Amino acid sequence: MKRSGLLFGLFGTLAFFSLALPGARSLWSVLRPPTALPPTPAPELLPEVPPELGPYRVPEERLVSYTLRPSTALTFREGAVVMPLESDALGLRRRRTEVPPDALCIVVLGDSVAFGFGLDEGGTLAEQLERELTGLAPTRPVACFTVALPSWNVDNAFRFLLDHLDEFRPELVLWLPVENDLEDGYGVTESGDRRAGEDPASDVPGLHVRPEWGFLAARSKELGAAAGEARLRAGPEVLVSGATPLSRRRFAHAAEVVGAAARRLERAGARLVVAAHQQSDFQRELRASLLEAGLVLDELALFEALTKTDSLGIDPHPSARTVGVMARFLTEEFVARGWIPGARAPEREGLAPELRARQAELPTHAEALAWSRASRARVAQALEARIVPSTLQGMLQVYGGIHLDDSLEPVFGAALPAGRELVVGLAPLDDVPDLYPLEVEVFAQEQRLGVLRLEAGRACVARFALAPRGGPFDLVLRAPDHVRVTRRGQSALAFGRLLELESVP
Amino acid sequence: MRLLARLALALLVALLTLVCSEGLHVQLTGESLVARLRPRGFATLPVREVGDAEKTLRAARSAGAFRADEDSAVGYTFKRELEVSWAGRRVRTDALGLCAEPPAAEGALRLVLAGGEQAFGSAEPRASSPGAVLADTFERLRAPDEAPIAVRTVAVPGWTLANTLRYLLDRLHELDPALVVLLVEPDGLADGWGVDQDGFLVPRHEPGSPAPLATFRPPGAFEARVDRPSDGRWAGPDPHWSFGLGLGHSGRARLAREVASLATLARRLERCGARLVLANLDGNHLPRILRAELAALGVDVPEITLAMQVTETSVRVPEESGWERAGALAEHLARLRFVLRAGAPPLNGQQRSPVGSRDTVGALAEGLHARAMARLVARIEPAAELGLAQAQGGLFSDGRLAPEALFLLPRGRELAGELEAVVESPGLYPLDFALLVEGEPLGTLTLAAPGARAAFTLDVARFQGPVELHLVAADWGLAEFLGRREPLAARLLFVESRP
Repeated sequence: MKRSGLLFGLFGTLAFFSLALPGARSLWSVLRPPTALPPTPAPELLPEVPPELGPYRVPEERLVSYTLRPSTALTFREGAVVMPLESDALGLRRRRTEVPPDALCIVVLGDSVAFGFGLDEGGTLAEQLERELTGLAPTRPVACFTVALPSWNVDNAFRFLLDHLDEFRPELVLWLPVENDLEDGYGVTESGDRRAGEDPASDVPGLHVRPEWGFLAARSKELGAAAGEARLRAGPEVLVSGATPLSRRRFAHAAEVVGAAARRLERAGARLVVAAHQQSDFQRELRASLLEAGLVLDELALFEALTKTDSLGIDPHPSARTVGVMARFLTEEFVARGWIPGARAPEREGLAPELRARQAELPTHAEALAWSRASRARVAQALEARIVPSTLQGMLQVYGGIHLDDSLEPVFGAALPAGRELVVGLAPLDDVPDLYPLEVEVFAQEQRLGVLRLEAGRACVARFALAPRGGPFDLVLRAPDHVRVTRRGQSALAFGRLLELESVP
Repeated sequence: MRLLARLALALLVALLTLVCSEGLHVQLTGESLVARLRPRGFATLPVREVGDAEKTLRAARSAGAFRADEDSAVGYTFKRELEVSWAGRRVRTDALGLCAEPPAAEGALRLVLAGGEQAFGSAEPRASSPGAVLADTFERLRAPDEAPIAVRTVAVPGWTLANTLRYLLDRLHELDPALVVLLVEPDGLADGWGVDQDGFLVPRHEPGSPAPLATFRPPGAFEARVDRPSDGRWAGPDPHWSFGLGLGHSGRARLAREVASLATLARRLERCGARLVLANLDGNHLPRILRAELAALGVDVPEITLAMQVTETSVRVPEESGWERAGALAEHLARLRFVLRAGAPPLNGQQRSPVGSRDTVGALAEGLHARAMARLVARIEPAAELGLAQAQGGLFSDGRLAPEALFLLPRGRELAGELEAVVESPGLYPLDFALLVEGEPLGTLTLAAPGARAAFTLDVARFQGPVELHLVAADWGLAEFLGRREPLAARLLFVESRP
């Protein structure tokens, strides 16, 4: 009895410590006081943008979708996040300190992650990295610049950097790729807000390539309890898969842009370094695409995967603490590779072991390419043969061009698995009989398959023979005419409603 | 003391429970329980959609007169339901983003006068704008037993033909016209404008353009001098002609696109029991070219000429023509009234158009084409102001080139040219250019270093007509031009077609 009591006590103690230790560590990481920030220089008086106006401006460069309104104090709102910001003369986040004349300049390039979405100035990767590196007493002062804006794509980011190379004169460019690097760029409204617009770099004019997350959210809400099961049939997210033609073209384009930039940076005396903030499927596929393009870049490992704890909570972007760990990972790599002259090695104890354990292990080139082959095959296998907006089936296979009420924009695109026959079911819009008959062009397997004649007042289903090529294919519907409709108080362009698409095996 | 000890014990138990709960939560979900409950650093807003009404309110806060339209092919309209300032005038706008007009009388036939700057009219007051003049004339000519004719102007300054056509197609139901008079302007096929963050017009890329980084428009600073007395150096067709006549690859594509849109508009109007008429104010040839192309598609669209005079500041009817008398304008207006009251003849029917037959129009277009071809000059040299009317886009007035540039040259055996590296930007050189002729890649050129020059020669003997040279830079830098920072790639020294 005494013995069993002892065993029970021992077990209890073990259980207690196995819970209390990670609990205490987690509490400390969440509740510890923030690292002291360097003194902020006296604020320069910047003109304030009224809150009724958006933060963006149209730049002179067509391949850059937007910058912030330059040299202003403004309020940045997106989703659930509201951030007071100050911009510099180039329309980027303003640095808080002067750049010493002999500084080693590092550009942190990318979109919202590099921008520090939801973070104050002291929380951005550029500032945390600069603090870390400065603390290691390098022979030259280090200045890190944020060259990033939320939702910039690969064209936007690299074009902006190359246009302003003489201003930054970087020696290191740290690129943080993110999924929206493959999406179309945006435009700017007359009030400085973001809007869907035509991307001059797009290879499918008129198609707005962007995953239909809004559609999924809205339809899930309508489906209620059935949404969970329906979402299981939404298919794989094709744009970032590399498994379909448009996705492969977008990855190849990204590799082309990055390759050209890397060569120019090298000529300008700068090194381009890639750092994925986590090893998502997109990041792995991007790595393989760069390798396939013969591009071997320096790559640094950050997190293997981010959890919800690492995020802002109200938004999936990384928290200041998470970004701080990224800055530490980068600092260690920069110093280990000798890129920061004179800097002493950072203390390894500065980072908790469980955080260190979460640093990604980068694959070899052969492993990266093998992963990509397997992933593409897996995605091709997982593609839904039908796309039916009413049930959400296959909706993650849509590249863009559908409204929340199933009506279609003038150009619609989606991916389907290989098959013998393509079935396209469309319905006309109500109340616009003069729009019809409308001969909607159907493109698939990189060719025009024919037209679907959409008549007023009745749904239409057309069948097209597919070439026996095997492999997933892209479908594009292009309408020669459309009308303006108002849906949920918003103007939109539409030509008909999508009933279903199917690739019949 | 005992109470305090109990309290301390309770606190310790609570703390240990919190630590263990946190540990358990982390072990099970990988997430911190406390982080979930912690207040956030930034204020939060509910996620919501921004509707048209709110966009209208937000737009009112910026200074400019224009708003970006949802349809990129429309480009822009005036801001909605506001009094905006444009070119020193106050313009009251309606819910459609057009200049507001008085409501149509009960039972009135609706005539839409559509177009760009000419149709909008730069006159002050609005009573002398083309639409108002037309409305006034109709009212004067109206017999007591005839229904009134309400004229609605569907035009915004700077609109291209593509902008106007797409706007009409998008909003046909709201406009509900019985007749659309489309005033075709000479620069109707050029690239349109976009709107900046303050509601002002800025150059933008044309959706679907094969040269998205060039503006398909003659160089602004040169353009003003196109009409000066020719000393031979400016020889060449009006640049707008070369677009409209389809002399080059881009011009042909642009013309085909607008003709397709016109045919769509004509057919949709016919389905609604309405009719389309092309018109021009100053005798430009584009309507005739469009009619010839439409006729080839089996679509017969009549054309009229409105004999008004256009000056820099106003549009007015010449007094000597006798506004109410039977002059050219009255005749055309009478035709419009005939079309309005007689209903829409079938597009492919045998009914004769008010002006000219299909054959006549086709012959006229061919004649225009031949004349323009004969006027093409073989050499374009910006420094000597030579052949600039054939620069179709991407050429700045100091000879520098945008990342893409388009030049039209007469038929020849080979094309030759030379570029100079004048843009300074770290690591920009060596800088490659792709050289496309009539849309086909035929060669490359490399500028080795700042200040360097590079020449090219391309064999173009196999092309049967005039050729369009398209220069595409692989990279570029921002450089000062008239106080702005523009993307620039090089300077064009010359390009010529050699027989």
